[in-house]
Amino acid sequence: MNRILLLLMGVAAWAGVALTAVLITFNIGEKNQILMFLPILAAVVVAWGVGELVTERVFNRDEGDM
Amino acid sequence: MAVLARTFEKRELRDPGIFRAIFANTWLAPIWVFLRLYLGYQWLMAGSHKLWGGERWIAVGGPDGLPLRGFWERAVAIPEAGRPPISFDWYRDFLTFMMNHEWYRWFAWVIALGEVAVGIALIIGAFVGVAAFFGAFMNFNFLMAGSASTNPLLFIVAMLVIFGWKTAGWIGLDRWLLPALGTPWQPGTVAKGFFKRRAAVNEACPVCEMPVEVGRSPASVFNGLMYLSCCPVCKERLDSEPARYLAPASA
Repeated sequence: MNRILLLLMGVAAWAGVALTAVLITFNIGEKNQILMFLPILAAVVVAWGVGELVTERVFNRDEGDM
Repeated sequence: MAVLARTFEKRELRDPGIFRAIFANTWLAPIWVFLRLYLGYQWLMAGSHKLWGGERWIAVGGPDGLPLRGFWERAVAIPEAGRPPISFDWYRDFLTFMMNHEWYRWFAWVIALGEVAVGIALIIGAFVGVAAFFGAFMNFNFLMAGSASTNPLLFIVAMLVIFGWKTAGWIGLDRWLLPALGTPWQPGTVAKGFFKRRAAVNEACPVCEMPVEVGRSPASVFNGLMYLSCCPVCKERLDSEPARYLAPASA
């Protein structure tokens, strides 16, 4: 159960990135593309952090495992 | 005959170290994220314009895809003076065929939703190589139709992302998706049960005889059987000279 919860947190973090990107792109004008790009980049950084701190524990892989 | 045998013998030509450092090493993953996000953002923006924007391709009054038909009409037109937008007759015939059959009605949806899907996949880092391939394919078709715009730059970035697909998705969903689902040459944890039943899995690395573990150790498939190596270096050696390392086991 705990494992599934950790996994869902990771999935939710990246789903949040997709949602952020879609909402920003579809709802805000493109006058300043850098300002539009920054929230997406911030969401990616957050999702990456969740992945490193939370989701990675589910897999706990060795290096070169891809 | 000796010349033919020497030319066509199986010999793996390894990539130089600098190539592997750029395209296959995770230390450059942050750079690849920027390239991937830029590409994904551009595709998402292009798709949103076709679905939502003032110059959208669908729901504009009348059948869907009328702006796409206009684009095709301009592309296939042959001017009296100067060069036509399309250089290849077969591609002009292809667009004319689609236009005459009113395929623009549904093809506009395919392009618009495809651009959004490619954009989202690149932004979240899911199946980055596949998404970049389809993005490059769309760039290719726009270029073939005579529309330069941002397509040359996006095409080059997409090709780079395709080359660096392993590290481009490292800071993204691919980091977990690829090990779980696997790659064409290495089954993932989801497929390991299938291979466990099907293949004779070795317990020690064929190269250095270190212990191996299903689902964690890099795998190679020879003659329908899966062999595990203890590390990527040993896997490279095994892949380049399978007969040398597997011959004693199979003898």
